[in-house]
Amino acid sequence: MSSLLWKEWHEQRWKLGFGCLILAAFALVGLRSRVVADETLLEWVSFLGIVLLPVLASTGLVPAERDEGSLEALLALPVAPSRILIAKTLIGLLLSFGPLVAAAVVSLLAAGGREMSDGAVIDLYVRTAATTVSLFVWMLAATIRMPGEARAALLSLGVLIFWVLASMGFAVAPGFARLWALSPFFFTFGSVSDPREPRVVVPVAVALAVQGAIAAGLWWWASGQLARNTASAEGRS
Amino acid sequence: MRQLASLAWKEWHESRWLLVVALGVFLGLPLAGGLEAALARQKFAVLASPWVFSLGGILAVFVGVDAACRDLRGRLEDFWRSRPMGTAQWLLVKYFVGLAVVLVACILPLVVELRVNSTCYAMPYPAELLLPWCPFLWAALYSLGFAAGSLLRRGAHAAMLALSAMLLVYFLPVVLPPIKWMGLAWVIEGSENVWSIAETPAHFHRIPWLPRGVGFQFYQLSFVGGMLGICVASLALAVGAVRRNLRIESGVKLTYWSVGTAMLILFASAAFQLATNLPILHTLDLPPEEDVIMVRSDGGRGVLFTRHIEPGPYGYRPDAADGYRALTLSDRRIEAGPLIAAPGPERGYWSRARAAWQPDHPDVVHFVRRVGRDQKGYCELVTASADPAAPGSSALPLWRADEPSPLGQFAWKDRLYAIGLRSDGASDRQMMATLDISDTRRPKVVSIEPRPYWGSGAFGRHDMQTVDFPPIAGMSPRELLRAAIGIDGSNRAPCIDGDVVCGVNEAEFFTYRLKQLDEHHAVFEKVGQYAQSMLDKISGTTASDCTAAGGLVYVSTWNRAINTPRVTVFDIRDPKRPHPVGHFAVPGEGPLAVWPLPDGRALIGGRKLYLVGPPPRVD
Repeated sequence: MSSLLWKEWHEQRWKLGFGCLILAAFALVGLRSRVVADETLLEWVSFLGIVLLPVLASTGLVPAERDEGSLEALLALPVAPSRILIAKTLIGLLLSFGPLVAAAVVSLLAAGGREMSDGAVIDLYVRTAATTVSLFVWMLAATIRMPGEARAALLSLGVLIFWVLASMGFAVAPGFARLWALSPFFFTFGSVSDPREPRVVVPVAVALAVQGAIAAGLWWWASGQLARNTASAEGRS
Repeated sequence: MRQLASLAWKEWHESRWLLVVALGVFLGLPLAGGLEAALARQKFAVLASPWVFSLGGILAVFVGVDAACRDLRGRLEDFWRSRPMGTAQWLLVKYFVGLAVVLVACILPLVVELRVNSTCYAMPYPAELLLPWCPFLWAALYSLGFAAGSLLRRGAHAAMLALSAMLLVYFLPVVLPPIKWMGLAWVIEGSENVWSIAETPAHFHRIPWLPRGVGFQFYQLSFVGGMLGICVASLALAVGAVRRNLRIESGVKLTYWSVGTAMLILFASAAFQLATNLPILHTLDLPPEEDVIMVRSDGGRGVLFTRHIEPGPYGYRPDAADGYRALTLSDRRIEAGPLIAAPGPERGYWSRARAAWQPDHPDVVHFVRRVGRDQKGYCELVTASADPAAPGSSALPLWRADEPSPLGQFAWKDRLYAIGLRSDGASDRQMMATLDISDTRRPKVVSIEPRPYWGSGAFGRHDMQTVDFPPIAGMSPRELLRAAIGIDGSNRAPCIDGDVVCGVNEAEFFTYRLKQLDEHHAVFEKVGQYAQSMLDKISGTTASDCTAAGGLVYVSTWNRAINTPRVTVFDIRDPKRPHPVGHFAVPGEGPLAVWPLPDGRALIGGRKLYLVGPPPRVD
């Protein structure tokens, strides 16, 4: 397992560096120059993270490996496909929230307590990280059988757009308020209610349980797809 | 020659489909739109310029990448290198055939639009302004795509790299003023669209081959030189790379890093230009439901006006009556007293930026406001005293005002002058009230009369501007001038600092210097201007008010695109060259309230109140 983790880390570490650099630099430049209010700037950083990180993480794991032709060799190793996917998932999770941790540290150092309290900054980044992790799991499952990284990126963007539109629907249609628990954007938008137009808000614990169950189900399905990939490769050989 | 013709034919044969697709989009779609309009019995028109303007650059990049990558791969490249012809010759033929495809695809629809449309449509960038300048930009972008394709030899990666370069070519001149001369928006807006030789200003030159005359000035040719420079450099790079068989091994890393770096460069450049650089000496925290709308102080005491706000679905919105607090300032500290509700049952509308305030009574403010509903209302004078032990009098009704109008007030010694529109449904009349404020907190009406004409008109439009003085006895010409400028309660009213009047309009910050002064009027001459930056124009920044003191002008602006208020500080000590020396951006629910103090510090109010020092670039 440690060998698998080392291999994935060696292949994906440049993405972690890229994500950390982009988000941290964006936060640092914006907060130091004070172009806009701190809250607005941090929302931009969060938005950038939500759009960039899950796509960056998910497309480089299985589709890229398949594109390079090394996936079959990897699956031919005397290791269960699920363990391979666990290693990839752990690195993918690190790519999903690692840059946000870097951006949060930079934000606290640059502007903590200035216009927003430290707690508010951390809360914003924690909610953003939860959204990116949830989106990552969805994208990992959706792109598990994609033949190349480019197509996987397009499909990942499609997943993102789907959830954006669905979440907008949940927001405007009162009858669907409870479906916020299914949306990755629950953590960023669905967990608060406007006091002037109150609506049913799903308790955070319930939403976490639902999201956890969805993530487990998606991961289990992806693992099955990968195992089927192994079986078909063995059948061809 | 036959060899060149063969090469050219081969390149044309392989790239003609790009021309067909491009013309289908740039010409076919507008023609379809014109036919649709004609069938709907409207005027037939071909509107190709929006398509060409928005997609022409992307087409140029893709054609350039395609021209280079088509034959520069694997054995095909070996085949072409083995032919008895120079590599440079081969590449040059590729380059110019592809360039011709781009230019024909983009220029032809614009020419058709000019020929077909008999009247000019109000487009942001009409065809006659795109035609002189955009071909050079398209050539530069095509060259960048060609160079990227020659270096990377992989179409997708080269396209991403070239698109990153395209972002820099489009937007870096917008955010970095030193290279604004390479910006398309800069060069287009410098052109005049004239309709006859007689109308061409003297310093403009016509471009004769354009059906409707477009004027240009010689300094705009710097844009042409810049774009041609990019073309030559890119072509040289491409030829050198292919001749020496140099290539960049590209992958996903290059794609991500190139796009990410381009975006970061653009953001950092924009942030550098707009950075907040006023040193914050002290921040006064206000309750979260308060937002500052006005502040006045003599540097020691003052008054702060706030409004009550409530969170709404689209952010905070004003909810309840205004209030005010007493202010006490020291060198680096602000303290505020308890909140006092503004007098009167309703909020009303009032010209908060021009409230009458005198340093002799720093905790008292007078302002005129209109109150009313359902097209019935009246103007009243409100006296706000921030001293709880000495409250102001109740509101003083002045005249009926069924219609809202600009209001203004000006205090001088023991007199207060207020202006506004009296409207009672039957007639409208400008009125002026004179009030006795010898007891500052209890003004008394001396007279309310129809206001004779006086005023300044709109500064900024003409090179000379005359200000007529109000008929107030006892004031010196200087005091009359300050009254005439200061009483103007309209939005974006000018401000005065010594002999200089400053103001803002949609396009620029301007300065006027006093040329002539007598007892009845003053004449000003426009001496300087500072055009709104491209960044501000694109983001829809609008200025709301300006206040001047000590050679510095504080302009409060609102950025519509990102819903953010800002303050920009201009240095007008040389009125011929006004230039920004300070920026400040903090949260607020409307334009920030600004008040410069006599010692160079300033008070800026939004969701909090900030005591800031002078801009660091000012000596």
